[in-house]
Amino acid sequence: MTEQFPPNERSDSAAHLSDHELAMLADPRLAEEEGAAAPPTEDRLTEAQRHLALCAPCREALAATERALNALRDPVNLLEPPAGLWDRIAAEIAETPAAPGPTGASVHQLRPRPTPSRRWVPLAAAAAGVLIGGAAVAGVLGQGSEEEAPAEPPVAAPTVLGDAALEPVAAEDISGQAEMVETEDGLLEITVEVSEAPDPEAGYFEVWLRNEDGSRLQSLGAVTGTESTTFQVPEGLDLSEYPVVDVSHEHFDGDPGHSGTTLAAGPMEPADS
Amino acid sequence: MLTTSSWLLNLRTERSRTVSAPSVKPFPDRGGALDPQPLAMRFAAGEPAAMQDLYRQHGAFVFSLCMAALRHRQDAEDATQAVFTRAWRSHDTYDITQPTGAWLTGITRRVIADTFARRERDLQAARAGVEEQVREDAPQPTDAVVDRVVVQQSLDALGPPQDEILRLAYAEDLPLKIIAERLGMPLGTVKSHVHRGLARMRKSLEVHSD
Repeated sequence: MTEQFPPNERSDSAAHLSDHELAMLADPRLAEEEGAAAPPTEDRLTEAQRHLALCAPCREALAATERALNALRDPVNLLEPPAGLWDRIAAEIAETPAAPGPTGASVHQLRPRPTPSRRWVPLAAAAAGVLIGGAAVAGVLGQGSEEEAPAEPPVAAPTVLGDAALEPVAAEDISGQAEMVETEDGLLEITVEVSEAPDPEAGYFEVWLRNEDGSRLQSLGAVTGTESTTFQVPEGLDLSEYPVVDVSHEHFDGDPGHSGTTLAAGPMEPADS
Repeated sequence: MLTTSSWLLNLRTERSRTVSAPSVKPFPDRGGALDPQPLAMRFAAGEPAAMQDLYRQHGAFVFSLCMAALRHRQDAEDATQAVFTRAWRSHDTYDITQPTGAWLTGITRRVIADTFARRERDLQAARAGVEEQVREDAPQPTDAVVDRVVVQQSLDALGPPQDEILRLAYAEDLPLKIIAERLGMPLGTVKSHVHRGLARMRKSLEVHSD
């Protein structure tokens, strides 16, 4: 679209009105003579009116310009939505699986923080598949959970019980791995390594053990760098209930719960024995 | 797909965002150039993380629209929630050549219409029972409200001095000559800013009117 046009003539009567002409028609102030040397805008506008009578698209463009003027005369305040609204939307979305897209994206969404009972809702069927292995391992790791009384801790050198490949589940391509060992004292430790370090200004990464659907969560601690971090698994934690290792992105917001944003996760697989 | 660093950067930008109007730029006016952007593609693909980005980009716009139309905070919050969950449920009907903002505007219009219809039903039900006081302020037609919010957003996105000139010329209704004097600009420059600004406003309205 041209800003300028030859004064006093529409060189091509079939040409659509320019932005300039539309604005002058909508707001006559713009067409006011600027001085003796100004071109006779009256004639131009008459030409423009003639074109308008014949051209529906230009009439619509003029109508839109007039709507813009009316809107400008009646300004409205733009408002930020309240802070908790996204959490509510995310919760509702989490319960509404969309048709899986071509990317087969597998992201877990947590319920929003205010919800007292936290649950994980796998949004894509693909994710569920990944987790099936975890249950079997959990059986191994969590022996003693129901039938047997807490077994006497085996006294031995640190034993690798299992490991987990943490696959990216969010748009961010963050992956990692986790290894669970049993120390000589019979304590369980998990060592976690992630491929990316969090930007301190944007929050931190937190490591969790959870069950497959996220209804149970146990925080292990924060990861601050890409070097491996070792966490002690709380004694008495029934691992069969928490077979999945989860790395989340957290903000410094004083909320101890899971933010709902999982970056990478994977089930504990038993070590080859 | 975003790299981690750019994602973290986005987060940071997001957090430093203030509530003041000029910083709210949910969708850049692309003047009808409808090249598909990564977010549109991610959303069309049903990527859940795209929903949050969509909300970050358009949440203020949708909420402002609902507030301006419904004039009731709780209703506006509920409507905004309905807009984004509907968007999620029907993402497979999203046409990727359309800007996501314009698509959300369409959904928002329908949600607002639904809310009005529900209020009307409630009113009828109330009337059937007791003598009911008639709602006094008849709502502005949704079309006009959409125009106002779209234009406001587009105006905020213009940046100086065009946004200020348009505000003075129309919201304040000052003569162009006074604006020129106040801003120390030639009258012709003020006029040409108004011309260009109006063209931008018109194009953003055209994008959102489908």
